[in-house]
Amino acid sequence: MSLMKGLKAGVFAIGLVCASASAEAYKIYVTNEKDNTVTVINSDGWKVEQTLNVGQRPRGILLTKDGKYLLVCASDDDAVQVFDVATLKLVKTLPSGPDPELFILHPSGNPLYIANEDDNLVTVVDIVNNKVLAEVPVGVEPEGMGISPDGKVLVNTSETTNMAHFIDTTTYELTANVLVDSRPRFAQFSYDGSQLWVSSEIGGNVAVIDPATQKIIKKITFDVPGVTPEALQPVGVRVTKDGAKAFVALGPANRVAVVNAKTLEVEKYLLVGQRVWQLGFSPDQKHLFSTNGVSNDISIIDVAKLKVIKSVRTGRFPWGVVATPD
Amino acid sequence: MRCLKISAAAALMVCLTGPALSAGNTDPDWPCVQRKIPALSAGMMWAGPPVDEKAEKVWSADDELGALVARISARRTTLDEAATQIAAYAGGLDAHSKPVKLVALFAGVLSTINSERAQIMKGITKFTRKQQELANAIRTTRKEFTQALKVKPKTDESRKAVRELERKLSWQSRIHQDRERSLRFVCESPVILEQRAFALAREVANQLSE
Repeated sequence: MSLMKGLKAGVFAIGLVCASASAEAYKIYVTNEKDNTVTVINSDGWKVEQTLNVGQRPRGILLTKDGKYLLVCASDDDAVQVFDVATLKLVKTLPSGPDPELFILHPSGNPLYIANEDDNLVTVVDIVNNKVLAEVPVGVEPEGMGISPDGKVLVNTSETTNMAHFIDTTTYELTANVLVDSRPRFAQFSYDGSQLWVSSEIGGNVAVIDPATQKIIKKITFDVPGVTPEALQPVGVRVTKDGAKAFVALGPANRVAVVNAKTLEVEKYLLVGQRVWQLGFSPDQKHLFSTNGVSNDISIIDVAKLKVIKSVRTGRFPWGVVATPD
Repeated sequence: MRCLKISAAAALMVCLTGPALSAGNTDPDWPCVQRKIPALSAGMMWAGPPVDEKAEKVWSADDELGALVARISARRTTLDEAATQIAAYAGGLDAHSKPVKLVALFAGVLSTINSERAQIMKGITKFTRKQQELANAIRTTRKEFTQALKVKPKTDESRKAVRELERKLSWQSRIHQDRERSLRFVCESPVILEQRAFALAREVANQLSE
């Protein structure tokens, strides 16, 4: 094909894209733990666009800061797979340590911090040079990963040790350990860095911690009429950019709790799908997505109206969710 | 003789393998990896008006509603077909009766699916007990077989008895293993019904909010 023909084809293709998609359209990617796939959903009509084959037992999923690459924890392949968002082709595999489950990127976009559930380690990987920079020993069964907005503090939760470990990202040394309730699953800093939210699945609560003093400000508990307390198992947490609201996925209670992030009081419970696991915002934070592992779908929540507006079918055992940034 | 040893080893493995209990599951009669949830509650899948005794009475006393409950609860009805039938029913209701009838419809579905699910779970418990009995029987046969080999059978009759014990051991082990294999599928049934109840609840709730 000549250069001119190529350009014309390109212009034509751009025309097609512009004609078919609305201005704010974005994509949502969902890992399906049992199917070894990623479901790709277009926000324009909330339609499933593609199902991508990935490594075995895909769980954690995120996008690089430039939005160009999709990173997937292929837990049973002991690897992190990197896909080009434009082509959805596998471009490389990062060394990850055994059984990677959840991971987080440094706010600068590199390195990547990975929780290795089977090896009681956090592996630090340079995603540009494919190099392991450090392996930090932490508690038993590390899982949740949070990073402060300035990138100085990494927090890892360990399921069996019941702790949130504070790690200095320059020295890779543990600077503090905060005891939380049974089986901590997820850690999330607020956007201004003033709060750290840690969910305890068996403990049934979310500890809000002051990262400066490493003291627990409050343990948020949940109560849904008609649902047994054992079914209230908090896992995924997301805090809005303005610091007004937090959302907590409550596992087999099939609810997402809406928490006032200033008063730390629960305001509402939204009925989503069965065994709600992880959460992810749309790039504009107008929508929140929940992965529902038993009903095999995601629920789409209108963040302003606090209403579930739709559910979209995925593969089996949807686990993680991420949306393409602006 | 080699064959005998292999069979005996297989039987030993079977006997040592008890029901695999899931994490947090302490009921020895519940063999599934899936957590045992004795009954589905409305609160797990319903955020609408309360599902009370009144709702139960409404669907039990209404033939049309009762027939719809039976049709959409049955697994042979696809979920798409069930959704169409729910929408058609809701479309024919006036604004006054709609909330009452739709809550009753959900109450009926939950009650019907819960009783089917309870039957299945009872069956799983029965199945587990039978497996435990069979494992005990294998243990006894194995003991008799090992004992018979130790004595070294000399007569035709005693050799025949050993062969008989071997056959019995092999047969019992095979039945036990085959049943263990089917367990995975048996355990899926309560979950499939839970998924169905949730999906139907969602469809009824959608009609209620329209």
